[in-house]
Amino acid sequence: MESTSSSEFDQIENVMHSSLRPVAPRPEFVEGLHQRLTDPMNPRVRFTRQYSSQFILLILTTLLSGIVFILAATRVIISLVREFRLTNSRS
Amino acid sequence: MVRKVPELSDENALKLAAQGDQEAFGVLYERYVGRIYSYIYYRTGNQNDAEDLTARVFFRAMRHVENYTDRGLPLSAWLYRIAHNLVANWHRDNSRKKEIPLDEIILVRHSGDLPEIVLIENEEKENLLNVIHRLPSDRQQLIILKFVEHLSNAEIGQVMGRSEGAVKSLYHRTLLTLRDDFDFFLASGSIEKDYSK
Repeated sequence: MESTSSSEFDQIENVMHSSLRPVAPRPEFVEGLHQRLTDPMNPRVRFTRQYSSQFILLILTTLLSGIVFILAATRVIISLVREFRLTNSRS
Repeated sequence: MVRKVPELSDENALKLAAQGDQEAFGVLYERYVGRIYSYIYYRTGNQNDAEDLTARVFFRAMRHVENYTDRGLPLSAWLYRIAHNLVANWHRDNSRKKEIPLDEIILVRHSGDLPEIVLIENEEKENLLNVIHRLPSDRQQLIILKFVEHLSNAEIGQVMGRSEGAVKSLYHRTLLTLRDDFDFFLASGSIEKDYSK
């Protein structure tokens, strides 16, 4: 029984070995994609390479600008409140 | 300066590619594009989608090549995994579309053979491909990696994220399934009988 299965499996494997062969891509496609991947002017490639550093720089700049803006706004508000109180106390 | 990049090992090419060396990535691309394309072609069944998905595999690989070393996989296994994920998405997105039969390219006519023999061979291959395409996705993947890409069980395990034993077990179960479907296919007498109808 086992040998029958083994023989059948061998047959199946032989058929698949002989029928399933690698399919080659078109040479034009291979060459074209190679150029797209290695072209330094390709925006997708440039984006890929510079993405990390530019993204980090953008985040840091945004954070710094945000902090400076919040500090400046807080100072303005505090000074306005003090001035308002001073005006009220004098009057 | 001209560098002999084709002599780079995968490991060295990967290191250079991770530092942004496009030439090194190009070497890796040349080394693996045929295998990845062939795998995707068998999974999608048509040239246009195979080309589109192959391009996506390598662009995605290029984007993430810096993270590659942490994964502990051979480069080929990593690329096959990317290809598998993209093919799975493609099947999901195209589930309503009818796939173009694989036999357009696979059924090769041998010039020296008699027309009757070619017809029988093509019929056999068509039956085989139909049977394989009816298998679940992971079994199709296993069959293609084993018989088209000629990977070992251990290598297939790395691609599929399974142990070698699990791959052997899945392969055995796949053979059992195929055996039932192949009854007609393997019996040469029935092929001849069918052919003579």
